[in-house]
Amino acid sequence: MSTLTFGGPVRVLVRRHRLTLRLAGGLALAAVLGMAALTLRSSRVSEVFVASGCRVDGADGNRDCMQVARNYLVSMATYNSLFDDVAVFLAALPVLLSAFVAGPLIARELESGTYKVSWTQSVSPARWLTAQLAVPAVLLTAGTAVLSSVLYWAQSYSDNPYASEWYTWKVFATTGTVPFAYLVLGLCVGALAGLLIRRTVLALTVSALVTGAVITAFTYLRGGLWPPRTLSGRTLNPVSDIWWVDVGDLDSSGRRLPNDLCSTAGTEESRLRCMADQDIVGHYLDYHPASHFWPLQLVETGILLALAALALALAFRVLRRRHG
Amino acid sequence: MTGSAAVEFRIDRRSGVATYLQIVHQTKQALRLGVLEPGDRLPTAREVVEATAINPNTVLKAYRELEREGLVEARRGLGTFVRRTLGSAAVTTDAPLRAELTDWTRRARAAGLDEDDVHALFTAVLDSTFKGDPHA
Amino acid sequence: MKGAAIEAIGLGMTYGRKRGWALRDCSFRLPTGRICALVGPNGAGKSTLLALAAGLLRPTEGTVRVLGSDDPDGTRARIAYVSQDKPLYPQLTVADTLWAGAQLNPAVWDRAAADRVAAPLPQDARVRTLSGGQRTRLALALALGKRPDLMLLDEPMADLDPLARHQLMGVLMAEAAEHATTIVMSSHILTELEGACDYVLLVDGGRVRLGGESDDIVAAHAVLTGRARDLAPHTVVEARTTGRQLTALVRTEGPVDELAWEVTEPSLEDLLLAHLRSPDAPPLLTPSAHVPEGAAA
Repeated sequence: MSTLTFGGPVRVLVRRHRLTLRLAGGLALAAVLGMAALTLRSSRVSEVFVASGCRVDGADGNRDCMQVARNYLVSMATYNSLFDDVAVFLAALPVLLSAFVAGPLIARELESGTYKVSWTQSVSPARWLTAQLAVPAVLLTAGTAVLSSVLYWAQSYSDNPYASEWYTWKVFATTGTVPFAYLVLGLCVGALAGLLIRRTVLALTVSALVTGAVITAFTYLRGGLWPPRTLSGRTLNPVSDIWWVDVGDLDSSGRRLPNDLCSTAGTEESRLRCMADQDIVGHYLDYHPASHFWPLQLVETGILLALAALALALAFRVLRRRHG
Repeated sequence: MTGSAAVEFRIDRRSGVATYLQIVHQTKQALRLGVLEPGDRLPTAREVVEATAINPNTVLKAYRELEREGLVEARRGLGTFVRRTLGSAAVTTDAPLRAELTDWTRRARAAGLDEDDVHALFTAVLDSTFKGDPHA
Repeated sequence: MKGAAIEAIGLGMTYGRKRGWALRDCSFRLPTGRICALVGPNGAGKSTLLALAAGLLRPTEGTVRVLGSDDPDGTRARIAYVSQDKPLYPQLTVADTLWAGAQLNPAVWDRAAADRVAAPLPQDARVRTLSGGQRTRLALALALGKRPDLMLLDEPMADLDPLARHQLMGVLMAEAAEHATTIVMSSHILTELEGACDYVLLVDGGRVRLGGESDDIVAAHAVLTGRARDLAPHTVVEARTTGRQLTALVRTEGPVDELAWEVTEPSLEDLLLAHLRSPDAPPLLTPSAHVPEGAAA
C-alpha cells in the first residue's frame, strides 16, 4: 500500500523498545558529558604544568620539578586510559548493535511468535525488517558520530604525552568512515543471524562473535589494504608518524630476508659475522605514511560495506523464502 | 432509525430443532400472543447474532421463511417489519376454543394424567390432525 | 458465482524434510461471506493452513489465493489473523497495543470497533500481566480494529470462559452480519462453533476430507439402520454390525430404499467423528468448495 509510510512500524518499534533506547541514550549522554568534563580537567592540568615551567624529561634541571612532572604524568595517564575506555566502547559498539539486532530485535520476535502480530497488520515482513534495521541504524550512526567527534576533540584538545598514533586501532577504528562501516556491518550480520537462527540467546551470541571476529581480523589485515611505501638502504632514517608494516634485511642481490636472522647473536662481533655470512648488506622498511590514512580508511570501509550488503541481501532472501 | 425491536429470540442449542426454525416458531408464537403486531420491527440480523452468537445467515434464512409466508416484509435499509398478525381471536384468553381446551385439560388432570402425558397426547392428536398440511 | 475468500490449489507445506508434510495436496475453495469451521484433530494441519492463508508462511508447493490475489502484500490490510498462542507485544500496555494497531494499519483502522471489544480490559495493564482470556480479547480487538474482509482465527475461543466465549462469538457474528466478513475459525471441538458456522472444512492428516456448506454436507449423508445387507450403491463412511442389525453412515448415491432401511439424518458432529474414525473414506467437497477448472493458471 503506497499510502503506508514507515512511520507506523518505526513508532511501534520505538515504543516497544523504549526502555533500551532510554538506557542507551542515557549512557551516550553520560559518556559525552564525562568526556567533556575530562577534557576540560586535563587541559587545566596541562596548563598548570606548563605554567610551572617544569618539563617532563627533566631537562629543566630543577629537582623540585620531579614530583610535579610525576604528578602530571600520572594524571595524564589516568585521563588517557579513560579515553581509551571510550575508544574500546566505541570500537565494541558494532558488536553490541549486532547482538541487539540479532537477539532482542529479530530472533526474539520469531522465537516468541510476536512476528505473527507484526506481519499480519498492514505491514509486510520486508517493510517490518527495514524498519527494524532503520531505527537502530539511524540512532547509532548519530551516537557514533557524536562520540567519535567528542573523542577526537578531547584527544586533540590538550597536548597529550600519551597520544595514540593514527594507525593504532584506538584511533583508526574510531575515527573517519570505518566506525560507521562497522556499525552497518554489525547491523546486517545481526539481521541475518537473527532470521537464520531464530533463537534469542544463540543468535545474539553468534552475531556478536562474527562481528567481533571481523573487527579483529581487520586489525591484522588493515596494513595490506593499500600498497605501502618502502624505504631501503644500509641505514634507515624513517620519519616519525608512520606505520611500520614490515621491516627486514636485504642481501646483496636485493633479496628480502627475515628481520631476526642475526638477532640471536650475542655480541656485536658475532652479529657482524652473522651478517657477513648471510650476505646482509642493508635493511628495508614497508610503511604507511600518515597520508595513507584516508586511502586505508576508504578501502576498509568499502570492503565492510560490501560484506554488509551481502549479509543484508541474504537476510531479505531468507525472509522472502520462508515467509513469502 | 425505527426504534428498538419488539422481540428477542432465545436459542436453545440442545433442543435438536434447527436454529432457523426456532426463530420462525418464536416469531409466530409472538404473533399469536399479540406480542408482535403489524408494523413492529423485528431485530436486525446483527442484533440477533450479537445476542445469541449464532450465524447471521441462519437469521436471514428464518426471516426469508417468514417473508415467504407473508408474515413479515423486508424494507431495504430499514429492517424487517411485521405485515400481519397470526391466528385468530382463538388464542386470546377469553376465546371459546381456549376455554374448551382449558376445560379439557382440567378433565385430563382429574383423570390422572400428568403434564408429560397431556403433552404427548396433545402432540399425537396434533400430528395426526395436521398431517400433510404444509403450514403446520 | 461469488468471489472466493480462500482458494487453495495443490497446497502443501513441510517444515523440513525429516518432519514430513504438515499439509499436502490441499485444494478447496471458501466462498466469501461464510463463517467456516476449520475442524480436525490436533496436529491435523489447521494452524498451518491458517498461517499459509495469512501470508505468514510460504507454501512448499501449490498456491493459496486469498481474496482473489496470490500476493500477500496486496491483501495484508484486508486480512486479520489471530494465532493460537495469541502472541502480543508483552512490554506494551493494553492501550499501547491498540495504539500500535492504529499505527500499523493507518488506512483501515477502526478505533471504535477495537475499543468495543477491548473495553472490559484494564487499559494500563501490560500485556504480559493479562490472563489467557484477556489476551484473547485483546487479540480479537486488534483483529476487529482492522475491519478485515477475512478473519483467520486459530482456536479463538480456547482460553475463554463460557460467558466471554458467548459474548465474543456474538461480536464476531455481528461483525459478519454487518460487513459480510468471511470468518474462518479453527477448533478441535466442533460444538464450540456449531451454531455459528455455516461452512465446514474438515482437515485430517494434512488433507481436506470434507468441505462445503454444513447443510449440504449433512444432506449428502444418511444414517441407515436395518438388517445387515449390501449397502451399494451408497458410499460407506462407517458401518457397524450388532447381531443382525447394521448401522451405517453412508454418503447417499441416488435414492435410499426406504422399505429396507430406517433412514435418519446424522448430526454434523456425528458425521465428522465418523470421518475421523474412518481415514479411508473418500473426501467430499460440495460444489461451492470445488476449485473451478483452470483456476490454477
